[in-house]
This record gives sequence, structure tokens and C-alpha cells, in this order.
Amino acid sequence: MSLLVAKNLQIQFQTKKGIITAVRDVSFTIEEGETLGVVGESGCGKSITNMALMGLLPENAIVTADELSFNGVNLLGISEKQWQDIRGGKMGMIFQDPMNSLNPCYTVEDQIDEVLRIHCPEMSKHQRHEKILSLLLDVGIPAPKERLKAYPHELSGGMSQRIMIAMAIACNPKLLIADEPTTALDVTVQQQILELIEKLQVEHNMSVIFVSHDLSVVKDITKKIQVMYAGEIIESGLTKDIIESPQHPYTKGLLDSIPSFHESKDDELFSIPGLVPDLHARPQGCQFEGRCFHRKDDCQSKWPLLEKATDRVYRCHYPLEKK
Amino acid sequence: MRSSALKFLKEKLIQLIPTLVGISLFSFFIIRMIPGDPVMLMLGERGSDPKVYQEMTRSLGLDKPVLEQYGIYMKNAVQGDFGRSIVSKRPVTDEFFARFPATLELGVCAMIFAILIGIPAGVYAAVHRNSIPDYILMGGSLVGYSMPIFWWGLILIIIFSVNLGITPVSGRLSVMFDVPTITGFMLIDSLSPQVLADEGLAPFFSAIRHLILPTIAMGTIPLAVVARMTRSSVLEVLRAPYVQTAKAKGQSFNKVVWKHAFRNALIPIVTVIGLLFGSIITGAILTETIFSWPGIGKWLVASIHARDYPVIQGGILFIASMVIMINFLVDIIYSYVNPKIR
Repeated sequence: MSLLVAKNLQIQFQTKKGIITAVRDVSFTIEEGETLGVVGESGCGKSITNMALMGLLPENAIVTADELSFNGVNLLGISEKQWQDIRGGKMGMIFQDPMNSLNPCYTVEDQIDEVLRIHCPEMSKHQRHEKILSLLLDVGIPAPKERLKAYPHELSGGMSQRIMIAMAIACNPKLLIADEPTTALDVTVQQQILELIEKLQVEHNMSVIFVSHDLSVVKDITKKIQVMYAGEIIESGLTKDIIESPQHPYTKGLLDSIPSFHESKDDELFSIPGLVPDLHARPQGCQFEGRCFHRKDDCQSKWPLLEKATDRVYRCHYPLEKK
Repeated sequence: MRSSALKFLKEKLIQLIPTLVGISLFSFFIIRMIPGDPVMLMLGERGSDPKVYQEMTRSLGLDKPVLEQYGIYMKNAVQGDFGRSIVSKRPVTDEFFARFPATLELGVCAMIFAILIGIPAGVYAAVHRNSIPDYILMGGSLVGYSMPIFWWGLILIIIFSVNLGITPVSGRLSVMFDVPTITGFMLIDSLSPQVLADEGLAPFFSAIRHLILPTIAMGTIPLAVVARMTRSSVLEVLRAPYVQTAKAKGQSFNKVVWKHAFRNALIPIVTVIGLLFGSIITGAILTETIFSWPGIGKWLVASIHARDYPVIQGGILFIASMVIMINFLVDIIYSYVNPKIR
């Protein structure tokens, strides 16, 4: 049985201007111990999808799906109390902005302790203290004893993200959702955090959803990738295949946008022209049509369904040639 | 932690000296710039025999050059002697400390009233933003903020004292009781063993009933400010990433709001409460006049009318010191609330 199953997930928001559909026709599964990369520009519905998995969407959100289940639990229509058991327990999450994701008024120990108190009420104070120390060691905090009483403003960005990770894995979650965990960090720290997540994933046999707008970050640590655009999955498959021969023009565009260290300075950096379509006025046909270098006449009128090739999926009328 | 707190205290006390010197200068010269003459006011216009007038002026030391007067005043003040009231002939210090507890008692009650209602109302309004209760609370606070205290105090008296007859009209205690002054705070003095033995709890309840209307009148504007400040502060904090983190931990909604959001929202609220407290003490005059409350506000205004120089100078200096001390207390509380400045 898969750890997480989403079938035809759709997320809408009730707004003053009417209902907008932020995410539609999103289906994927995650097996135990598997790492899935989710890639796409800002505003593509990556974060919203994750928030839906954690039950953290605002009240005006409407989530529907043919199936949405985690660890055998149907997530559609469970109570707030059940959500609270899942959040921070079987499902942990780390965020984009570690410096602001820790509460400035509480010490490191208080904040990690809180998760343990919620999900492991049977632990004694002393046990929790020991557990927090070992967690800090796990996430590579030097001199953890001295850090316990530190406040977030005394920590660097990388250090804060390590604390966030310690909090997220405190109760041995089955799934860790990492929402752009390295975006706000220095490049060197970025690499350390990636390695840490990879290490913990293996040690704890966790599944990981790793969200990023940067394919170069995702490609080393994930087995599968799904590329999202305008709230749809437009391509997914094994990381290796997608990197080597993208089939959707958008994926190719993302790959071409990665700056290469070896490029001479005369080469202009590639960027995809245009913007993600306004969700209030979605195009009738292919969502990417307006920005696509590979479009044909009927792309504008016909919405492409997901094409299933062997363990590759893409949403394009005119996929690129396989290399 | 301890040594840094002591250092903080020392720094604050050193800062206090130039402030107090500035205030003494200001109050001393300003009051002398206002037209009117204490001696003339005391003697009355018809009795102004020039000889008596000069005699009196000399005995009060008002014949000397102003700068010399200030020098003498400061020399005595440093030794703790703030002079005697021209009108009552009693030492200014005694007069002040006989009245200040009444003002402080009322001010503290008004502040507690504002905080106990304003904070929950503000948090509720923020959590239920744009709902009907939010509109009612915020509309109400706007009305409360805009209401003149004078008018509001009279309305309260008409409704609760005159029409319903539940609260007394004025004063601090019913004339039926005799409570000896120990601390000057009626709520405390009325619980002294002697009073309890003689008259039981009745004086205490009488003191509470006398406090109700002045507290509401004085606390309404702070209540409105605290409620609005709390609402906007909580709203801002609810959008912070760490609130998202708290939810992602599996924390319950109430804990997310109170433990995570409110704890952070408290930082600006404490600052505002400190400022309000200062203005409540200095602005006590209106409420004290309406309710015949024997505090420093009434006393000071009477002295200004009489051009009672020593009382005005001393009174302003004492009030300023009290406000500074309150702000100092707020600073200490603030450093506990905000770990970043510890």
C-alpha cells in the first residue's frame, strides 16, 4: 500500500470574485521511504498542494479528490482533532523561511519540547530533554546543550533550519514535507541542509516531498520528480529521465534556465518568456500555450490530458522528441 | 542576567537626573510666566495694602530675582524639602503623598479594567476578522475612544447612580465608615485587621462600589486603544510563518492563538499600555472632578488657580517622577516579554 495517494486532487478558493481553481487534476502516490521532488515556478500550486496534505489551507479553501489518503487514513473530511494528530506526528513539515518560522519568544528547547508534549504525552520531562539533545545531535547542531536555551534571534539561518528539521522529525514522521527548505539559505549552507535531509531520510526511512523552484537542487536527492504549472502536473517521472530528456516544453525551459558555472559570460541566461496565467482567467486550452516555443494552433483550444507513457506522464499535445 | 538587569537599572537612574532637572526648570519658569500673582490672589484685590503686599511677598521669598529663587528651590529640593503650600502652609510632600494613592488606585483599576476587557476583545476580533462581532467590537471601541470623559462620566452617573441607584455618586467611601489611612489605598486599608474587626467587609465593598463608575469613565479610552491595538497586532502576527509552524506541529487552535500568536502580539501592546498608564495619571483631572475623587488631579488644578507655586512645582515634579517610574516598570516587563532585548 502506498503511504500517500492523491487521485484527481482539486483545490479551489472561494473569493469575492467567485471561485478560483488553484490546483486541478493532480494525482500522485508516494511509497514508504521514497523521495518525490515537486518543481515549478512561484504560484504553480506546489505549496497549496502541500498545505492541503497537512490540512492547513485557509477556511475559504474547497478540497475535493477521488481519493486522498495518508497512511491508510482518508484525509477528506477528517476532524480537526484528527488533523492535529497527523500534523507534527506522522507528517512533519519544514518551511522556506527558517529565520521567521521559529517563534521568537520561545527557546529552542521549548519549541521542540512542544511537539513531543503534543504527540508523545507518555514521555517524562527528563526523557523529552534527552530526546531533544539527541535530536539536536542528529541534525548536526554543535554543542547542543548550550543551544537549548538559545532564542531564535541568536541563531543563523542554517542553524534555524536545522532546528526546524529537528522539530519536524521529533516524532518519527512517515512523511516529511520540505517546502523550499533551502531557498532562503546561502549556497554552502544549502548543500549541508540537502545532505542532512538525505541522511535523515535514509536513517528514519521517511518519505520526503521536496518542493523547489530549482531543478538543480532537486535532481540530486530525489528519485521521482513532478513538474507543476498553473496548478496542474504537466510532467512527472523518474528524476534521471526528466533531466535527461524532458518531454514537456516547460520542463525543458526550466532545465535551460539553470545557470551553468562554465558558461562564458557572453551567453545570455535563458529564461521562459511571459508569466503564469491568472487563475481568475485560465486559458481554455493548454495552460502553458502562451509561453511555449513549441505550440501549434490547436494548443489554444484543446486542454491536453495527461499522456501516460511507460512510467512517464506528461500533459502536452506535442511533446518534445525523446533524445 | 542579573548583572545586566542591575546595569539596566543604573543606566535608567542616571538618565533620570537630567529629565528631572529639565522638568523642574520647566515647571518653575512656566508657572511664573503665567499672568497672576499668588500674593494678590491671597490678599484679594481690595485688601491690597502695599505694605502688607510687600511683607507677604518677602516672606514667601518672591521678592528675590527669579534665578536666585530657582537656586534656593533646587538646593532645598535636593535635600528633600519641596517647600510648603502657600495656601495650606503644609509641606508639599505631605500634601502630594496624601492624595497620590487615590489617583494611583483609580488609575490601576482603570488600567486593569481596560486590559481585562480590551485584550480578550481584541484577540476575539482578530481571530474572527470581518465577522459581525468584530464589526460590533471595533465600532464600539471607536465610539468609546471618541467619547468625551466629562460627558461619559455624567451619563454613567445619571444611569447607574441616579436612575438605577446601584452606585454612589462621588467620593471614595461611604460616610458611614471610618477607615484609618495606612497605605492610602482604600481597597487595602479597608482590609486592615482593625477595620475588619470593627466593621467587617462592608467598608471594602463600599470602596469597590465607589470605584466602579470612575474606573469605567477613566478606563474607557484606554480600553478602546488596547482593544484596537490588540486586534491589529494579533492580526499581523497570525500571518507570521511561526504561526504556520505551530499549526504544523499539531497544536490546537486555541494554543496557536494564545501561546504563539498572542505572546508575540503582546510586545507592542505592552508598549502602548505603558504610554496609556502615564497619560491616565496625568489625565486624572477630569474623572476626579466629576466624581469628587480626592486625588492629585483636583489638587493640582486648585493650586494652579491659586498660583500656589510650590505645590505646582512639586506636584509636576512628583507626577513626572511617577510616570517615569511607571515607564521604567514597563521597560522591565517589556524585556521579559521580548527576548530580543534581554
